[in-house]
Amino acid sequence: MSEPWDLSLSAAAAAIAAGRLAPVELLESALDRIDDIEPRVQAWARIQVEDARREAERLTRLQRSGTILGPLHGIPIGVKDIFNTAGMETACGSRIMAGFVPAADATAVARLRAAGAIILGKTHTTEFASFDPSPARNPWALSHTPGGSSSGSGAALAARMCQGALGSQTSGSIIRPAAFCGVVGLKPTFGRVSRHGVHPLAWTLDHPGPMARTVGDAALLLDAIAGADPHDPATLSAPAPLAYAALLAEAATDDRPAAALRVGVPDRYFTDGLDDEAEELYHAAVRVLETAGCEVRDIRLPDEFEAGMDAHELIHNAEAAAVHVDTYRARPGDYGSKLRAIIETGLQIPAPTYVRAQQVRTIVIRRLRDLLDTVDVIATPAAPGPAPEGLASTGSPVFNRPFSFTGFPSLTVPCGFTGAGLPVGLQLAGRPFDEGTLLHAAAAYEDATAWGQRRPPL
Amino acid sequence: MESDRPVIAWTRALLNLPAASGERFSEEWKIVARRIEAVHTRPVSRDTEPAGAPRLQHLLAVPPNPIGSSRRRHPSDE
Repeated sequence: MSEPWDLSLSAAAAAIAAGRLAPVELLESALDRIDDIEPRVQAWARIQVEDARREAERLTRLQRSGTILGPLHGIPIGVKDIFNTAGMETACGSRIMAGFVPAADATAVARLRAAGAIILGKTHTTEFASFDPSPARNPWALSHTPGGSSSGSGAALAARMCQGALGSQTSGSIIRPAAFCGVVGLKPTFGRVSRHGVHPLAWTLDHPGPMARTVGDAALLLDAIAGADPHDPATLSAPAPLAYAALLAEAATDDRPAAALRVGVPDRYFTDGLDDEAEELYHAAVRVLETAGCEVRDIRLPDEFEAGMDAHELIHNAEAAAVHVDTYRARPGDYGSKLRAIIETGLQIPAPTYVRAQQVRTIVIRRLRDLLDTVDVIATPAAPGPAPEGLASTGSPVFNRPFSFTGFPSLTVPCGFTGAGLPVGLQLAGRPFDEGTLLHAAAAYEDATAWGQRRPPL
Repeated sequence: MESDRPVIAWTRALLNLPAASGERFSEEWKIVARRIEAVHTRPVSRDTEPAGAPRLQHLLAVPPNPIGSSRRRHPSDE
């Protein structure tokens, strides 16, 4: 049997449910792995060892008495440090929030605990989930960025220090670090997962979501955190989530699980600045989907698409300025230079421009929804290349931005490695609230390739 | 006619913001200015509802605010 820390979330959960693995064994194995690897990777802002041990002991006692709280019983999870965690510092990677200890959990965190998860600690985020980097490093090449802003979540998963993680995305902050770290990231539809208790970067663009080592693991996490929350109005008019993990299990019994799925390959934008190796891996991934039974079609993006990306940035800066203006006024020197520039420019954007940007957003949402009547998923590279060298930049979110802007769901699954051994991701995007189709397509791809089973050379 | 006062300095004064911007402001502003032009270049119908409109359905089930209006506590009312 593998070391417990090396088990996928699904495998660990199955072993715990069957009584073959105790939550305390899994936790101690994860802590051993962290002792060994964390000094090099620096994925964690803080780890609550004693709290985690107490919880693992409680969950082990329950397991022995025949009680399994839920599908995540005894599973160690890393939580991006912008999610409130009751009694555990939530510093948002910032000097401004240092020492802040929330009284209550974010809704997504509370739901993970209710499903039996152990909140192992807080993973590094860029400052306030923006662009000023954290100390986290890429486990595949320690001199490269893990991406951002969910930097520590991606790095901790890739380095096998936890079985699942929470991230959040305003531009590309789930998909990009997941792709750079060779793991799966799922940015759900806006409204699918509650933002309550997650520090905002830009209210109308923020999406909390799961990150994991496999597509099935991401589905299990989404099952736990999705659904209506009275504290987040965006979730209340959303259709009820499906049982995503069960849906995947059902699809897995199919001989050709991807048959009849129509996959769209965009005519432009997603190849701008794309590096040669990433482009080759992307085309190879599309061919794999075709071989798995998907119908691949060329699609023409709406004329307004590029203007939409300008609108995204204006909305992003204006809303971030509104979030931070009071603390910026009092403590401008405590902000990193990148976020400070976002706030300062956001404060100068005229109000009619912000409204116009939101109108452009309405148009792009309609056009993209129409396009998704002709295909079931859109397949693109997850980033313009692998993780860039250096830790000063977290790389470009440009290929992820369209789906944060429209709120449509997107997902990345590992689709190969460059000659230098860096992972590259395939991004799939779909119709609003149709995470099931995305997971289905990604699982079919994953089954056909298994890129995610490689382990970083740590 | 007197020319307009620079808008950026005016906004800083109005909102009581720090007098000087950070080192990246000029570089970022060039990009933002281009984006502002871009979203105003494309005509948009007045009938286009901006995204982000209020969602009110959930309020139907919420009882009236028990705290009342904050305006009642304004000193000039006393």
